[in-house]
Amino acid sequence: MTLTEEHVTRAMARRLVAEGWEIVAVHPPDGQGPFVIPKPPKSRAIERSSYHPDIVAIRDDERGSARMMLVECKLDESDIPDDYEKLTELASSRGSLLFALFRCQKFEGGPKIGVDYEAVSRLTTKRLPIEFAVAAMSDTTSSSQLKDLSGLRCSKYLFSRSDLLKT
Amino acid sequence: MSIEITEQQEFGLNGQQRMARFWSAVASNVPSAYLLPIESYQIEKATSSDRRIYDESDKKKREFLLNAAVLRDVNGKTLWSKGIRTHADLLEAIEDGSLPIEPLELQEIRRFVSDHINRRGDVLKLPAIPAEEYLHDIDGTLYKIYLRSPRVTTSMLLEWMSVASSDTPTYPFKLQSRLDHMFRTNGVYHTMEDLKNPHLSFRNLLPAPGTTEVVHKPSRKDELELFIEMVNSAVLNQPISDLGRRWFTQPDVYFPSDIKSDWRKLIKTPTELLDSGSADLRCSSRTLRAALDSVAGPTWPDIDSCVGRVLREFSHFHVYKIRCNVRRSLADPYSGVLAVRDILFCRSQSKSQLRNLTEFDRVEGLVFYVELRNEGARENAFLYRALQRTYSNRIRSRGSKSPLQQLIEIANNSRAEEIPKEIRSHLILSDLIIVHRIGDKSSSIELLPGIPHLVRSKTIAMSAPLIQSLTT
Repeated sequence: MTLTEEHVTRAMARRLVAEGWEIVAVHPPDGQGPFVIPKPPKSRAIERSSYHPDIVAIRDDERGSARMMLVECKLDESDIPDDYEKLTELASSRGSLLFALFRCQKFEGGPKIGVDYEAVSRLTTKRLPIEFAVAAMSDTTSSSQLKDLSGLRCSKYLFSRSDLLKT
Repeated sequence: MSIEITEQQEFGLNGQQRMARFWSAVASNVPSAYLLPIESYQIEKATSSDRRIYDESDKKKREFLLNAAVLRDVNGKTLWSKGIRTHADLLEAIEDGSLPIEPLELQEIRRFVSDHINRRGDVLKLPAIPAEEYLHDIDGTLYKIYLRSPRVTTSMLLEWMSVASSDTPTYPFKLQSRLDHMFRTNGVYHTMEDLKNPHLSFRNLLPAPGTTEVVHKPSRKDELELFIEMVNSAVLNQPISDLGRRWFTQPDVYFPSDIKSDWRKLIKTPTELLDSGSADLRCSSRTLRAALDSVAGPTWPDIDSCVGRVLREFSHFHVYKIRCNVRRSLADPYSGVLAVRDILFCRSQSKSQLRNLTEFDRVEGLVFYVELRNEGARENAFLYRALQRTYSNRIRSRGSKSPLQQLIEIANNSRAEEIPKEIRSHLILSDLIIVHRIGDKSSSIELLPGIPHLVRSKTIAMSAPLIQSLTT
């Protein structure tokens, strides 16, 4: 059976659910992304483009405050640096990070888990309740920490071929 | 069966860009379904007038202005100055008809209140955005979130599907958004973890049938249940009922009863035609000829007598005109746009006519009129250069051929999918293509009769590979 990036995305989503995260959006390869984060404009004349994270997840931390996770997935582990670079760029844009948190805000009649946007928008960037992850296929299933991005945590998740086939 | 799904709300013509594929399905008598939002929530940068509302220091006035803004087309500032000061006063003035605005505007606002605030009637529309959620400052940039309703271009698309369905089931299904997801995903909802069918989890799939609001209340089924009914009928080769699709085109449900008057403009003089920007236009053959005479000048008789025959074929033409200055290909959305115009404006719309779409038996001619300016006039390859390139790639014939000869040879030697998208549908659907290049110092014109005229005049046989490929 041929494995694709979608296998990694689904395995990662299952892993996050097992860790207590609620999956807000999944963006399949070549599909339309329902969770769009605008990039900062490069110049006044250019229409800005956007980020479409492969997975967006949210959960309450131990103090009952919501945290957000943005994930990029690749099939091959060797492609992780490209995604890490993409997330580095996203993490350097405070406006984009705040927009992502704004999308997952708590409001009357909204989903149960949500960010107190007014409160988090006053925090410094490195204290924002947001973290990142990259995921890919490897020889064995494992997870580790990568260097923080703008002071925000970034994790690496690897999945073995046999674990991906279970998805 | 042919199925198209989009989660993106139409903006301008982009909702019509897939319609050439539906045209092809109808021509081949293949049932088709189009799942689309029709109405949805949008988040976009706010305007300067929104900024003034956001910055209003009088709390009571700000609340009123936000409530008025959510109703659309209501100028809260003007109403405030006329003494309407609370949301309750505003709703009362709408209800009793005392709101100081034009009667037609009042009618629209009343409909919005009925549809999106009170949510009355047989068709369930999306709830309006709560006023307090209308404007948000994100890191110094002001955004507005609003309910985007379908407009003229969507009304054309839905009417097109209704007309096409008189011969082959061609049904739209509404993807019903959710207010509680308006921030997260603009209201779009997906199946996330499906415990009953784990293999369907995290695939960005639509919600399961029976889990969303029932849009058309009399049917008692949600849109995805109805869609699955259609799929089942098609798979089992059983007759497909109309599934209540008539609601989409019923007057004053999704669109005002006079919406069709906005579909196109009647042109009476050549100057009007030449001066018009991008638009749907209808004009007489005489007006079209006079317009061509004035821009083509002395070269006109040399272009091709075939063009004259096209002009004599119909008393009136539907002219789809675009004015642009782009280098890019003119493929989408124009392929679908022309497919929409073919059936809405150029056919008698009888069942038998729709059954034989590829005979191009039309009551009105279809003209694709491209006005290219500046860089577009210099660089854009549409039409002759793109046709020449296709001819060179496909036919590899020696000697120079006129564009018309090139087109005839291409039609006799190629299937539709072998013609590049940048000219394919334009050639297949237009009776006449006009390209008017207007540069800084000079202008030029390209004219080419399209496949429909060449089929009717038997210049191209129904057995030609291109025509056969439209249905097989």
